[in-house]
Amino acid sequence: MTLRIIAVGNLNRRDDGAGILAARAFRRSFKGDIDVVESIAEPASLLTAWGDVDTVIILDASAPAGKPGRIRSIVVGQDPLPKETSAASTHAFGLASALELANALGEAPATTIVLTIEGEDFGYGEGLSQHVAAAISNFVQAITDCTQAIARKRTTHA
Amino acid sequence: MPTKTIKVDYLARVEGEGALSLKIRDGIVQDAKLKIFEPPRFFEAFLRDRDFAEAPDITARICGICPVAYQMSAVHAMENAAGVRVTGPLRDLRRLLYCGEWIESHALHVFMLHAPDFLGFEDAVAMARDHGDIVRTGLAIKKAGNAIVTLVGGREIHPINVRVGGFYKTPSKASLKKLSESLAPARDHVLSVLTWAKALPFPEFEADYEMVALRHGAEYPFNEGRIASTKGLDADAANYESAFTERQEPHSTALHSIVNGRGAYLVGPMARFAINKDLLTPLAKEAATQLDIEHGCANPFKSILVRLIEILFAFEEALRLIESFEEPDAPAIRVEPRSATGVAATEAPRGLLYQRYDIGENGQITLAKIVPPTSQNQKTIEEDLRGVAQQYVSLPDEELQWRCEQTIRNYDPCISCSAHFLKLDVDRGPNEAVQ
Repeated sequence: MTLRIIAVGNLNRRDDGAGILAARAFRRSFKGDIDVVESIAEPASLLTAWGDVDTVIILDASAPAGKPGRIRSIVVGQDPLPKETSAASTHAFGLASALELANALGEAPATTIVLTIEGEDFGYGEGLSQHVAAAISNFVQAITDCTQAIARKRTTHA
Repeated sequence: MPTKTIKVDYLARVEGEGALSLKIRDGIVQDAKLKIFEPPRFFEAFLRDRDFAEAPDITARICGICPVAYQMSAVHAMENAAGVRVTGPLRDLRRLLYCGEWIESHALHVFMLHAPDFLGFEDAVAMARDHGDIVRTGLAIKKAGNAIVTLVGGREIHPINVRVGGFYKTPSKASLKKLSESLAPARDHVLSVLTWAKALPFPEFEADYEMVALRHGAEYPFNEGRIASTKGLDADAANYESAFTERQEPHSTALHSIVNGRGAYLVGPMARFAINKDLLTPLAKEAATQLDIEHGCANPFKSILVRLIEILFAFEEALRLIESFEEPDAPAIRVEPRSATGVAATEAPRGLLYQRYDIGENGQITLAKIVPPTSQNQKTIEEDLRGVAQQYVSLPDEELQWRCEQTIRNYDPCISCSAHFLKLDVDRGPNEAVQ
């Protein structure tokens, strides 16, 4: 079983870049060997990004819902996925559409976990809003916990 | 008196926010409006007082689908103002980058946005369940376009490697050679879908368009050429504003354009094809013959076929450019700004993209004017809507709405660029029952 972390978002749309910034922080702090990539939330790119692995963790910012910085874990196929997790995509297809398309084509990874951090400000510019910036370390910890849970599952099934 | 109104509040599968309204009285379509209500984005104002060298990076942000086109028109306009001409391998790399954008943009539209209209699916996800092979092929084609833009432009979306005078960094011959290995199979994917595309159910509809595109004379146009039309226009980009007029319409935040003395005109793949089909590669000409459009195409629903021809051409052109590429001595030539006006028109995937800049003594932009293809096509889209709606006026509202939305998507409109999705409003009056 192979695992890849895919971060999506737009660093120039404030909190929309939280997934990418968390992925970079995770890459700096994590001592193990996990493939971490940044991708645009677009079907051709995402289908390529997860094409050769069976487990992916996707990091993205979620739309504001009153609790900026809130971290959620969504297991695709078990939990409902918000229609579009990115509020700042300039494209006709976002992450949710790409996941639905991959599923329709039978090309979705066996396990897809979407870790989201709720954003507050998706305006133009760089830098995270205060609440989201304060929650990034927790988001990185959530990524670590998720990878460890996947590793434990692998060991159990080995 | 039987009257009817059809309204679509948000048009799907287009980039940006727009709406459509039709007013029908006694079976006669009295009014058809493409309402663009996306707020103005003020890019022309953002550009004022910025350094001339910043224009390609700022204008690239106008659109996530066709940023290369904005960059290309910007750099050519700046070089025009400075009296500089970029030639040789740097010019070839610009054509290669444009090939990548055409492939990306056309493939997205053909396979993900437009094909569902013909096959009766709400979107590409629904289509993928029954036509998985076609969608996979489309994604593979698009991926190859993404790869060109990534290598030459620095990244897939909003490229960062374009500068006035050339590029920040040019790819090595070896990296281009490696890229070309993925392009030949992708080109063959295009050939594999021609029979499928030809069999799509095309509504019968043709119009006597004035088609406008660049005409270079020696090559299918991307970056250079005179502005030509199927009704005799032949103008240098410097005379664009004498040949065309932009005017405000109350129902749209995008300006409408007309050819002076005549009216609506059409830019984009059909126009480029009409004016430049003699300059396509033999394989692309052969494909046009296979699709029965070798003598031209005046049915906008068949623009999907023309886009396939252009994708095929772009792959062949990309392979040719890579084959003959020699690494330049420097990634860019030096461009010194001077107080002058610079203009350029290049061929965005959706058609002619005009930009004009006035540059001050210190290299600052004092005035910027940007005319994107969708705003130029807006009046023609409305004329098509009126014609199509009249031809299919007896259809039930739901089917008429579908046909009207399809009519708009024929143009792959980038509403974000032009102002910048669809609300349909069909008004058949109070006495005509909605079927």
